[in-house]
Amino acid sequence: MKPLKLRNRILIFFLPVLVLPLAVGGYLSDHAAEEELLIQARRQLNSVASGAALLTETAAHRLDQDVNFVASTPEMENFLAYREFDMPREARVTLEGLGSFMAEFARTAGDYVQVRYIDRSGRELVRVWEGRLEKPGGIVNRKLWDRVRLGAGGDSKQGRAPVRILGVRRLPGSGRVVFTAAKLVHGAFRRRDRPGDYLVWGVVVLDMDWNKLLNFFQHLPSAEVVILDQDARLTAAPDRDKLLTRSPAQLKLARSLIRTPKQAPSQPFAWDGRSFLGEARGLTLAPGLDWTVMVRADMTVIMRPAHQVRLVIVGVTLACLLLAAGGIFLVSGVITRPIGALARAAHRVARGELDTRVEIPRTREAAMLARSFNSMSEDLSRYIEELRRTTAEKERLASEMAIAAQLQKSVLPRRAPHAPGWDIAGAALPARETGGDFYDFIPLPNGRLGLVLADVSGKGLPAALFMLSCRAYLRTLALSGLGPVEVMAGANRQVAADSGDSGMFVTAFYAELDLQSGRLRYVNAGHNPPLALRGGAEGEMEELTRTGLPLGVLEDSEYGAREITLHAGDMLTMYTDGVTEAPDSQDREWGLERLRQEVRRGCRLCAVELLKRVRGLVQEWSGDLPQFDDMTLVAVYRLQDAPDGVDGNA
Amino acid sequence: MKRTLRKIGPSACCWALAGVLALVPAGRAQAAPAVRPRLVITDTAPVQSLDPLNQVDQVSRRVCEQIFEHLVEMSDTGEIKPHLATDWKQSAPGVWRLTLRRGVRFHDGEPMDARAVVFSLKRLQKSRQRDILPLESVRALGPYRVEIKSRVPDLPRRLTYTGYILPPRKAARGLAALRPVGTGPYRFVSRNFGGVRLALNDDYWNRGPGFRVRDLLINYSGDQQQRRRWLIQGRTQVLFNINPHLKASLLRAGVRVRLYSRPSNREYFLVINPSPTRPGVRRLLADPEFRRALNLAVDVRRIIRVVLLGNGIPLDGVLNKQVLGYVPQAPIPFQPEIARRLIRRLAPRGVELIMAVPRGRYPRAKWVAGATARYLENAGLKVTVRTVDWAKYLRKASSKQTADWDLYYLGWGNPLLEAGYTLNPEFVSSPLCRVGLADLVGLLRRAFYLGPPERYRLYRKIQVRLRAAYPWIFLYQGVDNYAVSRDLALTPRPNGTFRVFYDLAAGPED
Repeated sequence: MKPLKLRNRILIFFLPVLVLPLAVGGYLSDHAAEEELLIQARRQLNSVASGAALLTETAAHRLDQDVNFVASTPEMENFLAYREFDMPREARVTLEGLGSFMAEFARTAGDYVQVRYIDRSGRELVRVWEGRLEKPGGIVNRKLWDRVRLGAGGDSKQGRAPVRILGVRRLPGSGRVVFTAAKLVHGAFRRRDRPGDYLVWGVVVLDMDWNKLLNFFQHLPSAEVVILDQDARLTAAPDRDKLLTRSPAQLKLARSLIRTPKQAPSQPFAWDGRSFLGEARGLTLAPGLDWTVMVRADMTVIMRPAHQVRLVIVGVTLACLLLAAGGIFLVSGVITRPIGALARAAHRVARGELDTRVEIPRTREAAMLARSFNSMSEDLSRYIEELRRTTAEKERLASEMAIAAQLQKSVLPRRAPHAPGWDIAGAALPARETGGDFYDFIPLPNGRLGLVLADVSGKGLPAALFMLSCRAYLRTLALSGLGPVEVMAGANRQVAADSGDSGMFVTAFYAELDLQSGRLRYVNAGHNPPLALRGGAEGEMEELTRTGLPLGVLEDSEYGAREITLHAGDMLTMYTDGVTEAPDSQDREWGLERLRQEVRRGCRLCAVELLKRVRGLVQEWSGDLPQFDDMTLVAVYRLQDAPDGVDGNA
Repeated sequence: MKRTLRKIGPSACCWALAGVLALVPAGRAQAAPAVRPRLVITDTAPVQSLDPLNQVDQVSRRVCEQIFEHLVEMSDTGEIKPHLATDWKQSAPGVWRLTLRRGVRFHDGEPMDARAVVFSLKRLQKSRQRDILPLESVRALGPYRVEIKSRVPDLPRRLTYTGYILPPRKAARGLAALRPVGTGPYRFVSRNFGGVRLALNDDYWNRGPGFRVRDLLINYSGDQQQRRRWLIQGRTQVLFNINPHLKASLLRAGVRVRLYSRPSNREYFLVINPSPTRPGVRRLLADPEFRRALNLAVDVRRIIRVVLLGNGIPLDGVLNKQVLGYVPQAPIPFQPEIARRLIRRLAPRGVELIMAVPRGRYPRAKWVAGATARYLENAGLKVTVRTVDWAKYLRKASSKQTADWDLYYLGWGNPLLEAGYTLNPEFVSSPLCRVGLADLVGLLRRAFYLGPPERYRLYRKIQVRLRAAYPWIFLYQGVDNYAVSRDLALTPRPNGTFRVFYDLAAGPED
């Protein structure tokens, strides 16, 4: 699969990062806005419902007050009294005054379509229509009259008749919708034949213009007011055509919306295929006149701000996304273009076009990168050139080192000297191509054998060179017939002179072994003490300790010589520190004690086997670690007391 | 020229000095009182008689009050003030000595002195007003001192209402009714069907402030609308006895007049008359319980409110609240059910009552009586209202020829504003009381001649007894209504008297 471009990766990463918060934020804010709108709408609908109820109550209260007012005027009382007192002239004059008063009242009040006084026979005596006193219209509607008469006469025994609010009705003829109330007015005298009835009585009927209230309701913003009377007739509705029609379903719905503050808030409901939120109030305008005021608002109207906000959010989100995408594209281009150029340049460099350079872009980081690349490219070019040279040099040095190693190897004894009764073996394993350890068997006159084991400080080629010169000095001095002390002293002076300021020195063990007698006279110039095992594995192990400073430390060092005798079964093991100090993976030295044990165990082996065994154990101890130091071992095993004569050098 | 000047110089200087000296006091003297050229007062009825000792109606009396004067006057606050008598004191029980004002002359120039007073009071004793001011003797102690003996303890109060001082010469000739002559601020000029014309008495003794009119006409009109029209048109400036409806009309119309109302000293009631000619009704009307039922049946307050348009105060006894000696009692309640029960119990078969009411005398009397009759009918009675002309009515009532009236309407004024005026010794035998309370005669007589406080203690007892006896259907105390044009101001007096000179004034600026 082909990997995506960095620019695409940036786009793919950043666009969701931008889109997701916007989407989540938009959703949350939209949800919160809807909730808030519902709360606000409920609050407003509550207020409007209270206001509508209050207005309706006020209208009813005013109607009640006005009916009482008209019914309790002195003109009315006088008129009734004059009728009772049989004063027709005064009654007629007062009736005219009553008519004038009613007309004046209707004009002043302004809200009354019709004000009437109807006498007990149902005949209009005063009729005021829209503030004008008009000719009375004769006998009134019987149905209305019965309602008024029967209702208003109910409590007449108490001396004051109650106002009977008849509710909202449509006036026949004019079609005007009015809010009607009536009050019975009567004189003081009851009829003899019917004590429950009054001699003189009539009814004041006021028809308030209901349209004014309806108009007010209709102009309420975003809210529809529906008022239903106790018979489920619509006394107020948004649709005027439905006025005074029965709607029990709406009444049931409206009553279900009447709730106390402790109840859960109202929820949207469906009506006429639309969704509404509503609040309702119950009204008792008069006994038996229980109205319900419902105020509702279309949910689409309520939620319109939320929808608008939603659209704005979506639009803003999209715009932001486009802008962000464009911005990301541009910015990523700024980032990726130099990278692409760098990649192409790197590709050319990889193909070997080391003189490839990139153009320095204007951005600081990219410029730094380009400069680094150019610098790296130059360095690389230079390095490869250098490497080429170094490799050539190294190859040359390696070949030289190989030669040196070969040379060093060639100076070591190819094989141990063969002496009857003696098993002598030696082995050297340098840590690098060349090493600083060496051993030597120097055949000396008189059946003696010179044993040399030395360890030049340091490793590698310098140590090898120093070893060669040191070997040469020792061999030369030994062959010159000097004793061990003189040999070592002479070699010390030479080595000290050679080392100069290099600080190099050599630990060395030199011994003259009388192959016949087994006497071993030695000088230990700071070297690890060789181990002399006497009498086999269970025998005593003697360490041939130092008798002087390492060679080259002090020019005029003095050396002492010691002497031991090796008998049959005795074995002398010489070693360098590369054996005992070989570290394992935990940097623990192999140790002298192990060497001692192995010497005891290997005392029955031939010298070569012993050396192989020790070397194998040391290598096993170090595991995969590179060899730490040059390892050199020399084993001298006296098999039996030797006969006379010693075989020459190997 | 020089000689001439020398000749006339001293005399000219003297004249000039005299002129200056004459002008100085003239400048400092009080300005001459303003005299209005003309004033028209319109009453409700024509004057019956200008004889001050023979008056039966208020209209005639109002004219006489401009011409004649009393020895003492009652102020607008009810105080007794000196008038023709400057001082009076009781020298012994029942003996009063009065000092008369000097410099008072009758319109014909005759001086007003002790002789005139003695003549007037003695003449009073021969008139119908003797009951108001019963005197034992009157005599002159000097030209301006008079001694009056009378058993009444409140003689000065009674002199405020009666006892006009007449010129002995003219009156003796019997010309008082034709051409009355008094000491008042206005003198009689002429009388015709239109009214009485008076003129300012330039020699009136009171030079102080007063309402002076050169030409004063007191006419009448029984038509309330015409009275209203005249007032609005400026054809009259003062209206008496304003009908409640006229008052309401003037109030409604906002006509530029001033209206004055004051509780009247007159109270209106229906006298319950147990007529001997109708034994069944007599038995009922003689029963105090039945009379109580009649009172309980009538809603007087509503009648006042409706028929009188509020111009009345319900009565709670035989006296009204203005009267000295009045005892407040519990208002008579309107209890139609109780009344109906009582009437049903006392007259199970029902009864018809005849109610008489005068025509054209008392305000809205017919309607008040009619409304009362409807209330009585509402309580279960049958009532027939008969309207009778005032003259005939008065005659019949005065002479107690009321056998065919079970109830008759009366308005009784108390111009003295004192209990004794109404509750005089003749009360129980007068047309005011027909229910036979003979046991009260002694009390009334005793009280009449007693001085306070025993007098009013007795009157208290009498009032309580009378209220319990229900001799009347108690109706209301009237309210006197006056209307004057906007440029006038009126101070009505509690006793109902009206003196143009003293009670009218130029109206305050609006």
